[in-house]
Amino acid sequence: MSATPSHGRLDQRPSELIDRSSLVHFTFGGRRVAAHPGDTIASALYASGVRVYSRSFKYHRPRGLLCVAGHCPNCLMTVDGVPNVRACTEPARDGMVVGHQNAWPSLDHDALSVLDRFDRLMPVGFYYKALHKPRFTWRLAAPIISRLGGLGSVSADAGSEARYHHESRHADVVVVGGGPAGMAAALEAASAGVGVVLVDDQATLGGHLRGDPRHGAEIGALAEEVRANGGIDVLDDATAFGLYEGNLLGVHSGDTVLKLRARQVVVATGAYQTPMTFDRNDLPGVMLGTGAQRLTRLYAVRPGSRAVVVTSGDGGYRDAEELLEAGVEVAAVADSRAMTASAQSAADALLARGVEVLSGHVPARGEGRKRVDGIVVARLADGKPSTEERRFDCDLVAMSGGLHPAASLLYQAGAMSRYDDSLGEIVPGDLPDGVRAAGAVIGASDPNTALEQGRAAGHEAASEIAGAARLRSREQPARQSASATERRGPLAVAGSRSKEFVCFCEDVTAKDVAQAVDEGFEDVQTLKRYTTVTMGPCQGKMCLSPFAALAAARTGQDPERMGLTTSRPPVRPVTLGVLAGPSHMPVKHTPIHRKHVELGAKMADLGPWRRAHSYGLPQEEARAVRERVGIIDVSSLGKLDVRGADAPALLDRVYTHRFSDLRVGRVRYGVLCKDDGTILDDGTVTRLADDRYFVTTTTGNLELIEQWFKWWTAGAGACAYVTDVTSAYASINVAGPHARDTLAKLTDVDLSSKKFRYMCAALGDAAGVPTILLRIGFVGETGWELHFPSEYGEHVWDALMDAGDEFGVSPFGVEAQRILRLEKGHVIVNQDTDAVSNPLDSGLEWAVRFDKDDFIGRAGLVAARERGPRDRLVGFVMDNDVVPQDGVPVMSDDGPVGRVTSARLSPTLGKGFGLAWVPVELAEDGSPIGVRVEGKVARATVRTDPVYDPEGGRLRE
Amino acid sequence: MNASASRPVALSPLHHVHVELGAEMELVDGWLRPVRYGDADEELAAVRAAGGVCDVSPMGKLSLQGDTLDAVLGNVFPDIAPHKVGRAVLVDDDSAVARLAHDEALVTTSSRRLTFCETLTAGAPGRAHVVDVTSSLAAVRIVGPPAPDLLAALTELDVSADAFADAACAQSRFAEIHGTLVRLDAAGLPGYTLLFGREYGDYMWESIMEAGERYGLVPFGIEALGRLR
Repeated sequence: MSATPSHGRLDQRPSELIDRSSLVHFTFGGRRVAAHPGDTIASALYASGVRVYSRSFKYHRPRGLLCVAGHCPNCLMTVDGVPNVRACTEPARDGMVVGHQNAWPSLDHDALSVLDRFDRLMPVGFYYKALHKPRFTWRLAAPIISRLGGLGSVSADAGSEARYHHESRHADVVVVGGGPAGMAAALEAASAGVGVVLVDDQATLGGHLRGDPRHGAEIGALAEEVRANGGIDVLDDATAFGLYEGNLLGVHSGDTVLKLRARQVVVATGAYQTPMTFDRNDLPGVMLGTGAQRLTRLYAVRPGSRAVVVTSGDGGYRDAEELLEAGVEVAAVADSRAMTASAQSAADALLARGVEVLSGHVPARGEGRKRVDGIVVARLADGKPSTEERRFDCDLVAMSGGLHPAASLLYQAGAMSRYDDSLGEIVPGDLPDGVRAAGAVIGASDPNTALEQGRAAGHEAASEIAGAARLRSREQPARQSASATERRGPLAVAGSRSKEFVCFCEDVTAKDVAQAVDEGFEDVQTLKRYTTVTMGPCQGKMCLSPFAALAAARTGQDPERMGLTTSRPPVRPVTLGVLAGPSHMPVKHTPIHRKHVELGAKMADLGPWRRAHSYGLPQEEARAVRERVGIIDVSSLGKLDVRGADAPALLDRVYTHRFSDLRVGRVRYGVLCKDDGTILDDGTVTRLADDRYFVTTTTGNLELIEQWFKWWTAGAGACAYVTDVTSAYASINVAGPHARDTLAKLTDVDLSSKKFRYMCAALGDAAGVPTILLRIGFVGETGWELHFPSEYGEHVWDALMDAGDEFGVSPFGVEAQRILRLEKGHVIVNQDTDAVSNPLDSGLEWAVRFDKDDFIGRAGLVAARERGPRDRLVGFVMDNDVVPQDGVPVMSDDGPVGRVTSARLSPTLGKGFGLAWVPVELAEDGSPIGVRVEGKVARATVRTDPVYDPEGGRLRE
Repeated sequence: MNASASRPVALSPLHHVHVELGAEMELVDGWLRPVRYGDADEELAAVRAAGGVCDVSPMGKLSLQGDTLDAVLGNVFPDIAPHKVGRAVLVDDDSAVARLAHDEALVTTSSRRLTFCETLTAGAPGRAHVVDVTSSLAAVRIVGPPAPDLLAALTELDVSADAFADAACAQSRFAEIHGTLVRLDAAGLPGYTLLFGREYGDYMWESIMEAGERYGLVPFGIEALGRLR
């Protein structure tokens, strides 16, 4: 391989992006490759003679450059460990390591290309058809297929160092596309004084006219004008990958996603040149005319030495002229149309320069092994290729199959579509509010029309914002230029050969598509899903147009009714890392978080909260609570302040229990139900004053309950204010035989059992901090739940640890708490209950007051009471120390009849125990049941009383 | 009760961040606060050049809610009644009222929390009420030239100079969580107070520092903050 990149270069080009005065080097497959700054990986490789860039998805066929614009899958490579990088747009940088994908041992000699010979055995969906009987074949085949097929592989440790950013921005007018229409729109809008952001996915403005022999200079001047305009902010190398509701554009650039919200959007994304479909149209050396142009214009790379141009329109003649001008010999132009008036003069000029022009000829097949060495074209007779063929030696076939509007953003925004007969393409029709379009994306076929449409769109967008009156009026330009009467010829005349590729991404041929239609997939959407055409990395840019045409022809439908497949973001692939954005997730820490970390706690994510699971052995922590004293951080409990004259009525309405008769200074357990009487949440309600309650909810349901309360407040027009005070209070539960001794050292509040009874509350200082003290007992011991301002979380925690030291205080975590509450038979909503549980069946009937006025869920509960329960939530104890897993079935002789919701080892009994749903007939105390443990049925007994302290004496001591 | 229980020390949700950064901590009005992380002069210079972030969680925060807010605010702040939604009004050097909605306002104050709480409660007849949310919310000051760009990385709220000028206020999502943003420029620099749930303290600090990495954002202490007035 040559060490100098000037080999294979043309003389200096006016539009070239490369800096010939210096060199950078990268490695490709271990070889050192020189490039100029400004080169892409692909342009440098092409200049150094590389023609095979990848191996295809399914058949491992050699593939070369096709679009040279970052659209097609043909040059996907692994760059510095990142897979699926488009080599044709990735700038060459010093020291980068570039490797090929999907080939072994090398691109030039891929052993798996043997698959290409068995294509007959592998039609679309072959594995679904063939590999399902016997069933194990799929299990064997699937990993092999996924190894053989596909693209680059992701390294498990790649990207861990990568940083991604998300940014937001608002703009008056956002123009997408830096071609003539986009630049004209931006200038026009900016001249009206509104702020413009121009998003262009290229490094330099100009679109497809950059370096164009006829319009290049004019476009260059326009680009200068855009750059110099202070009202236009140009985002280069930035891809608008989605247009979402509310004119929100997702824009990807490098390691950043920009969420760009626009008052007005002008889409001027141009069009993609369409490949033509013929046998072996995928040979390296067969590329789009625009691809060859990009090589010559931008990188001064000679695309070939002798070319044949195949076309379905006038574009091919211009491509041929430009190739000639770049010093490439052009053997012939084959036009699938009969000679047209619009092409006549161009054809004559080419003839004069020794180029053979063949009207009414379609490409029949490419020839060559690893690169094209000739092409055969056939004369059309009655719309079919005849046997009258011509073969031309060539090392370049430039395809010019017409222009397919790059309209994905418009369709995403909700644009209608219509069939444009003259273009032979479906183009966007009516556009939604706030979105405009200009240029080739709506069918403009020449630069002047594009410029005029761009100016009009820019003017209209600015008028919407600035107010039409303030702007000089303009004449409405014609939406479609009068000259756009050129009519496209056929892209292909589908034969029966097997290598006519429609989809380069996933190796789907015209024959595959025809066969799928014949199998009954006649709708373009199902046809797409079945064949996977348009579903590969190019997302339809190369294949949608030929695919739609082929499908319409095969099904006999007219193209407009056939329609296009649905356009969805992203328009161009965006790596998941960039979409995911910054590397951390919102996580909630309690005010005492650092204490748990310092104590070496094992932390667990419970919903958004990070909580202490345990500090050592949960069983030991549970024992400390039963025998001495323990403290647990329960700050994540949902807490609501409910106040106002109508607060009592609100609570009576939303809870099944009654709270209007709750005395000030008392605490009561409450259950919230949905309309149908099923359980929504539970918690405690404390009355702090006549018109003020302190309510706790389960950790995970706070937001829901806050909304629920507010909903019922608003609906009733009540004077009740609901404030989420979860973050305002740190919360600690102190529990155990020495809880009183410990707390008494820190507060003047009388904690004696006579003065501060179970289910009572008091306000007082604890450790010098104003505190709400609740005497409640989730874990079944004498205990207080303390709620105090969050900023004192660590102070109070430390004070309790110090005060409890002499009594052997132990912090305990969520796991110990779960064991302790289970011994008391206390239910955890959504762990022990589910979406169909009601309080009557869940052992909470005592919390339902049918004797009060209507409350939410009453009707459902009345019906449930009349119907009677089918299943009940009961406690059970295993015969020994086995512990079933949460969720395992409860078994009778006839099979599963219920399920275990929670199970642990009881420190009190030394046996496995828990809560389970069982049928009513088994819900009696002492009923024998079976529980599935490790595939066997273990014996257990229903126990309706709590395992620990069934009378509740400990709570009241 | 054992008299030996030490006097309570209030900690900001970002307390340990400051300690880990080696801040010099000092007790101010019962709160341990970062005075400086190194040299206050250097912090000031860095804020002016690259932007800085300062923990102001200890400041008093009062939430006012109710249909009759105009009347309440008119009673308590007769001269400067903040009636315009989306605008904040300075009451004095260290207190401001941000009118977040027709029925919601947020009072921030560094030293007059209790006074305001009393006067507002007294001035809140009928259907308005005051909730002290000082303990609920963490707050940071983000000051310096890159502050608008940095915020644009955290929120979809339009924080461009035109749309969010000095004394603007709004609620939105910042780094995916709910927050309130009040723009109060200081010393000729764009300055913002961002308030959010204190449980997200560590997360939000990381998010801000990550977004600020490209600008060279620095943490600064209350000494520099005092000199930015």
